[in-house]
Amino acid sequence: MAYITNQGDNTVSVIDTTTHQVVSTIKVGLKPVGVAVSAVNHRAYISNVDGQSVSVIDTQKNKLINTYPIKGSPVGLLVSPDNKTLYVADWTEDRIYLFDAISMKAQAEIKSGKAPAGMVMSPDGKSLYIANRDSNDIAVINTVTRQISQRIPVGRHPFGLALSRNGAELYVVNVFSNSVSIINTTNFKSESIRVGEYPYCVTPSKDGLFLLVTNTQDDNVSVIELAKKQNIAAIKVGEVPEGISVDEQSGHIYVANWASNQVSVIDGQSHKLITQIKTGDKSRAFGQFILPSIMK
Amino acid sequence: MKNVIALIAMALLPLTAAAHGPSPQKVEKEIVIKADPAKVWALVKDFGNLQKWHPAVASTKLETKKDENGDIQTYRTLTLKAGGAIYEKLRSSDDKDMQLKYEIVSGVLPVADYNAKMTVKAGPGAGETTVVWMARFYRVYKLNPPIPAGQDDESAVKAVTGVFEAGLPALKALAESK
Repeated sequence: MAYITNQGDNTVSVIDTTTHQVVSTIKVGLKPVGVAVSAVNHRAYISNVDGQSVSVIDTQKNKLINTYPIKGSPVGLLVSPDNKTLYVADWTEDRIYLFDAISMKAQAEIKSGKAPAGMVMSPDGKSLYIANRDSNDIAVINTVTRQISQRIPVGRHPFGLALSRNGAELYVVNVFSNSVSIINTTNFKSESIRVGEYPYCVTPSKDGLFLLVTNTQDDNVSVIELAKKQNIAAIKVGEVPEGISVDEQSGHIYVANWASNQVSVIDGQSHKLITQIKTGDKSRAFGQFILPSIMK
Repeated sequence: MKNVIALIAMALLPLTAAAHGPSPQKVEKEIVIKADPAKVWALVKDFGNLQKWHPAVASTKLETKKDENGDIQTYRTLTLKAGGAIYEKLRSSDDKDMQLKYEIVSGVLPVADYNAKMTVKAGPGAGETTVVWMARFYRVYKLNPPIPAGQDDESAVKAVTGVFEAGLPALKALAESK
């Protein structure tokens, strides 16, 4: 299942990733943007940035469990690899809030850089990476001390993030620099690759050989071959593509198109567009938004 | 027409291109013109002459210079009839797809991080052309509520809607004139 936030009509479209049909449309809070999913918890978490709240969806029934008020303006979301903690990035107050992922009880706050956006966590759960959009860097947080252990300068306006499966490489989309930074998470060395105009989000392919990057102003997805560190193709999708995730079962890539109210599905092998699925108004789906159906 | 000038005139807030609120806004308008697509596209792509068809624009000044990424780019300054100016950057002009993309760098509209495109296509009928004008932008105020009057989503959407709704009929009138 793919959980697609629709900013314009305050809903989440649930897409069955085996049939490519919208199976449910769930009302959430005001201006939903971010998504995080947990197969173990049977939950999808949605950040409602203007509603200043987080909605929690039961992914077995595809029904809203509850919408919880948050004090700031939540955008980026992340569930820890042990499925115990939900991390919520507050765009305006430069903080990350930690909640118990089941009870939604507040647990702690972490100071980030300016305008925290995308977040990812190392597979061992020890390092949290935050894209600080207005600081033009990545904050690495030690999840035990909950302090910033490292700041890595990147391009201008980092937004979406992804990690390689083993956590060895961090991928950062720099919106205003039209580039993706590839960062070694051991020595923090980085290099940058030019992509299209106003890129937003990134995902590695299922086999880990390629990166796919949404270019919001080009209405396409850049394909980067990681072995060559080269931008090798552009796949035409819908208008103003934002969120992008890979279905770990099929290897298909899903792209939420903000201006054309649809999701594009790309074959992970051939990099060809398979289909486009009508969703709600202004689809964003910022974060890892696919719950593999095999793990239901 | 009077409304759009009044709207632009009252929106005297400085624009900050760097920081913006979290939810992008969209305005999309289209118009069907009884003229050849090539004729309409020639007017749309003429980045340095918006005053030829937009009724709110008094004059357009074109210049080229390097942007923050070191690339040579084309910019224009729109001086408005109601006073004030809008400084814009041409992002691309594609003759094959008949599509023009530009952004606002600074100016009097109550918007932030504004990107727009104008697309010209043949149809729906024979001898007709459709122009689609679409913009994506943010409100001026980027912090938590309460949002000050004039810096909210509604003000931003209203101002851009006014610009589009005044411009498209004027473009049609010019393109359909002999």
